[in-house]
This record gives sequence, structure tokens and C-alpha cells, in this order.
Amino acid sequence: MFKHAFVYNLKTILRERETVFWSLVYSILMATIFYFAFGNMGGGSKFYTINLGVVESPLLMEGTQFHSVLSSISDVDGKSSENDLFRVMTGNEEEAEEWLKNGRISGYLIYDDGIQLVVSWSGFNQTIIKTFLDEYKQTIEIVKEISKDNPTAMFKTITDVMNRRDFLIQKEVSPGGGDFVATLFYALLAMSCLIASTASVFEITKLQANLSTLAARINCSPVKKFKLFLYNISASLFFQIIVVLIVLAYIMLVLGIDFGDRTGLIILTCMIGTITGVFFGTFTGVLGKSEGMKTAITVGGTLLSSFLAGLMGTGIKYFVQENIPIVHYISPANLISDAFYSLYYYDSLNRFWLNIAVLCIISLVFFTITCLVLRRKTYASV
Amino acid sequence: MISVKNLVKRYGDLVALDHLNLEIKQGEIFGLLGPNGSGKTTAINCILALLKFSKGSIEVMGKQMTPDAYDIKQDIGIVTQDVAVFEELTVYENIDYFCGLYITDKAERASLVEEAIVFTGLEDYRKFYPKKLSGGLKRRLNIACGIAHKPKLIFLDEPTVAVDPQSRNKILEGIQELNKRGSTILYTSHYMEEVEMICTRIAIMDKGKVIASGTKNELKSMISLGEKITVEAFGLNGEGTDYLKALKGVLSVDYADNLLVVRSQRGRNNLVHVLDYLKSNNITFNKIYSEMPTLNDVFLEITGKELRD
Repeated sequence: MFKHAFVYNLKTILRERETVFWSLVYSILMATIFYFAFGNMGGGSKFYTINLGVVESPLLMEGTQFHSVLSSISDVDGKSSENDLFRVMTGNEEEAEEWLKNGRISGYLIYDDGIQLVVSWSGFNQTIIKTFLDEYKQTIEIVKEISKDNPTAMFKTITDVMNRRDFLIQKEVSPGGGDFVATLFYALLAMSCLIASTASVFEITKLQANLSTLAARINCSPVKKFKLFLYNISASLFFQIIVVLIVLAYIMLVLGIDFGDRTGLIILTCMIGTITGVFFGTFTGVLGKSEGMKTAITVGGTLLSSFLAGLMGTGIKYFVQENIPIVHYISPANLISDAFYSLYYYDSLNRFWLNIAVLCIISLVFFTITCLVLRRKTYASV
Repeated sequence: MISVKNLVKRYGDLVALDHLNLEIKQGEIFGLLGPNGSGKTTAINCILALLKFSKGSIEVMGKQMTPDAYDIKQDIGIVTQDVAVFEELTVYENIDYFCGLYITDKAERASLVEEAIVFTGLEDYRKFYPKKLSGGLKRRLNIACGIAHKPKLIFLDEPTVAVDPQSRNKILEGIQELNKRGSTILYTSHYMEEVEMICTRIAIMDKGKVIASGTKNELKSMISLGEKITVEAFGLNGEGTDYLKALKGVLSVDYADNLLVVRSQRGRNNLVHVLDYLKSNNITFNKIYSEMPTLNDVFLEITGKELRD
């Protein structure tokens, strides 16, 4: 019976042109468009030097402690090297403001009761400047505290600080290097996983006697509905996982987008993401009788989740992360995208497994609700 | 085969089935006749355990019918009112899929599918997708999907709706053939001619109730109408209709648009008297029909409205 139902359900899915289009063709089209639109923005795994403004002030200029630190990692005199993190532009506050408005600098530093950072929006470059500044302030505070309380430990402290700086400069960011554009493709692949939901809504329509005559006929057969659900959904999952893997192969092998070297875990992420998508669809499928409403929820949910995961620009992802952290932790597209991100940028797999665990929990919740509703055997109306 | 007792089904304030009672015996073609909305499909859905009902009991093949009664379901075939097939599967694949829900042996299934294809006359359309089939052929496919596993009990819910006369005759002949092969059939329709033609017993439904049941002759004998004479006559006046009304055993006389309709009581034959009157009064007449009462007349007399209202 499993083979019979599986094969026929797979045939129906493969012959549904809309499903094939939205699951496969649409994702490949989007990937191609992204590639031509943004493909040359990332520049591989290298970081570009960030343009940083510094407002002229006796407390920030040459001879100060801060200037020494900044000079060690920046191009301050027009002699740039590939290791420079910042290209410093010095001027008065009006000039700095003007440069910021024109986009010539990502932010500027000004001395106003301590060193302050001024940015016009929160993005990748701004995060790097802020991290640098926070680290500088923290280190200065530590040195001050120790020199006051335990001057004998000063030498060790300074050695530790030096070592930390060395660590920051020399350590590889991730096994695969880094790629800014990849974030867009993570979100796209997350969308490909979740778009499986639209097709799995119809798996429920085929089984709930109050939703279609076809389902009424199937319900009159001597096969348990739950068994048939498992058989059908297996075919749906099989199809959708193959589709997502094709999209992944296209993005990695044809478009040459670097997802890092952890291929096994990347495939695992695609599979778990697709399972979440399929069960999101079955969950929506059992919600009510209106086909329009269910389609709107699945398509809208998938697109919104993908949008918040950075499908239309990475700024959204960071905005959500900072301002609506709960969405960051429960939005399936974000979890999938973040799993790819974690595999790419971090040596440690802790964050990756956390994302996978949350995705599994979400899938389990969707699956359980679907099963509970499917248990219903008679209806008030058909 | 089926026993329905005091079945009540409500949709909010609307009573869809009002203490419905049905007894269907093995080997019958049992017709459920009634206008649209009379509760035929609701009754079938309750019997099939698809619908919850408020009150009553249903037994099929001597056992309580429940959604988990898989042993009963194994012997049931259903042909739904709307065509219920997969648009993405071919004719052969559709029949094979539904047959496969009942028959797991592949070789046995292949032979049954082939038999169903021949039975419904779909030999030339095996590889066609449903969207390429005409309405009549789709209906035949719908039937093939419901009967391929050779069920003992078949539910046919308005299987001839929107079907061309050729396909309709083919379907009706097929139903009689299925019955001859041993299947008990519950057939619903609002086409009285079909029900009269193929059903061995009939229940007439209205507003969720069985208002009459029996063989077609038993049903017709329940009403006072015996003969209906229709004559195309020109220039009949009020005096003439009054004369005809006064004839012995005449129940009613209607005259409109040059059509004279005279209804007489059972056992009375007034055709000769009507024609004598028209001739003797030099009233020109052309077509003459004399009909025995139909199930529509039964419905009309019991409910006061036409079956097709």
C-alpha cells in the first residue's frame, strides 16, 4: 500500500505544473536574478576597508592613545595595505556629517564626553566600527582599573591585551571564509524550503472529506486516513527535498556561490528546512475550509518569513535581529538562513544546532496539530 | 443490506434529515428520488459515516456503520455526485489508484482495472487525462473508479447529472448490469424517468423525510390519479371545460395555450368521451397523448408541487 500511494502521489505532484514551477523554477529564477543583480557585490571572502570619519579633536588626533590604536589597523595617511580595517578621513563635524550623508563613510567618531560613534543606519560596516570602539573602551577601562588596584599585574594585562589583538587579526573567521552576498542566497534557499508549504496544503485537501469530493471518496475506502497521510506526505517530502537540493546545487555549482565546506550539514539544513515547510503547509491545510485563506497564509507566511530573513536585503535581517529578536528566533526562514550563516561564519556548531533544534520543534508542533485535526473522522458538513 | 432508523441531521436550525427511515435489501436497486435539497446526498453521507448526525442509527451489512468500520468499507463502492478523480492521473492510473485502496494484489488489480475499463467503455481513453474527456466520459471514469474493486454495495449519487443521452443510457445499462452481477445499489436522482427505469424499489424524499416508498407500481397506486389525457385543441371555451369536468371520474381539467389536460381517477378511462365531445362540437384537435401516472404525479399529489421545482 505504501508504494502504491507513494508512487501515485509522487506522480500527481510531478504533473502539477504549478507545484513544479513554484518549488523549482521560481527558486532557480530568483537565484539567477540575484546572481546577476548582486553577484559582484561580495568580493569573495575578503573584507573591504571601511571608510571611517574622525572629527578633529585634540583628544582624538595624533599623539593620543586612541590615535595609536586606530593607526595600527587603519590607513590614516593614504598608504593603504590589504590588512587595513578602516580608511580614516579626518575633518570637522560638518564635513563628517556631509560625508555620512553622501555615503562616503559608514560612520564617524566624535569626542563628546568620551568617544562617540555616529551612524545613519545599522549595517555590517557599522557593526564592525561599533565592535572596534566597544573593544577599545573596554580595554582602556580594564587597564585603568588594574593600574589603580593592582599595578604589579600591569605587565601581564598588557601582554593579554596584545595577545587578544593578535588573535583578532590573525584568526580565520570560518573554515569557508566569508561572503556578504551569500546572506541573500541563504534567505533564498530558506524560501525554497518553505515554499514546499504551498503544495502540502493540497495534501490535506486530498484527505479531509469536508474539503473535497476526492477526499470524501478516499475516506470511504478501507485505508486509515492517518496512514494515507503519512504515505502521501512522504512523497511530498521526497519531492520537495530533491527540489531544494537541486536549487542548492544550482546555487553552489552553477552560480558558484560559496556556502562553505560543511556540505553534509548544509544538506541536513535543507532537509530539516523542507520538513518545516511541508508541515507548515499541512498545518495551514487543516486550519479551515477556505482555499483562498489557506493559500494566502502559506504564500504570505513564506514570503514574509523570507523577507525578514534578508531575502530583499540583509539590512532587514539585522534590523529584525536587533529590534524584534523574538521573530529572529521563531521565524523558520530566519532559522534556516541563520543555520547556513552559522555553518559559514563560525567554527563552533552551537548556534547551528540551536537553529536546527528550534526548526525541529516548530516542525513537531505543526505535525502534531495536523495529526490532531486529521484524527477527526466525521464532519458537521461535507 | 442497509438499515436506517430515525435518522436526524441538523445544520443549525435547518433539519436536513427528519427521522429518516430506510430499509434496503440485498440485490435491490434502491432509488432515492427527490428534488434538489431534499436530503438525498446528506442521507448517503451519513450512511457512509462521513457526516455526524444528531440522532438515529445506521447499520450496513448487519453491522453498525462507523468511520472505523473498515471491514464494511472494503465491500462498499462510491460514485460521487461531482466527479472525484485526480486530474494529474490518466484514466488507467485513476482507476488503478482507487482500486488499489481496496485490492493490494497487483495482478488481481490489473485484471479488475481492465474489467472496469471495458465495463464503462473507456478502452480508447486509457491514457487520457480527465481534462481531455467529455462530461459523459468523465462520469464513466467516475463510475469506473467506484466499482473497479467489485463492491457488494454501491452508492451512486446522481451519476448522470449533466451527461449526454448516449452516455446516460450507457451508465443506466451499466448500473443494471452491476446489479445482475450481484451488487446491491443505492441510487439517488432527481430524474424520475431514470429511477422508474432501473430501480426495483423507490423512496421519495422531500424536506429530509421519506414521503412514500415501494415499487413504482405501489407508489402509483397510492394516488387517486389514473390517467392523464393531453390534447392539442383549438378554440375550446369555458362551457367545454365545464362539460369535461362533469364527466364521471374526472379529477381536473386544465386548458391553456391550446393544450387541454384532463386527469381522471384510477380505474376510469375518459379518452373516448373527451374525443367525442371535441368532435361533436367541431373543435379542431391534433396531437393526443394518454399517459399513466408518473412518479412526478405521485410527488405532485403528495406534496402539492412538481418534483423538478
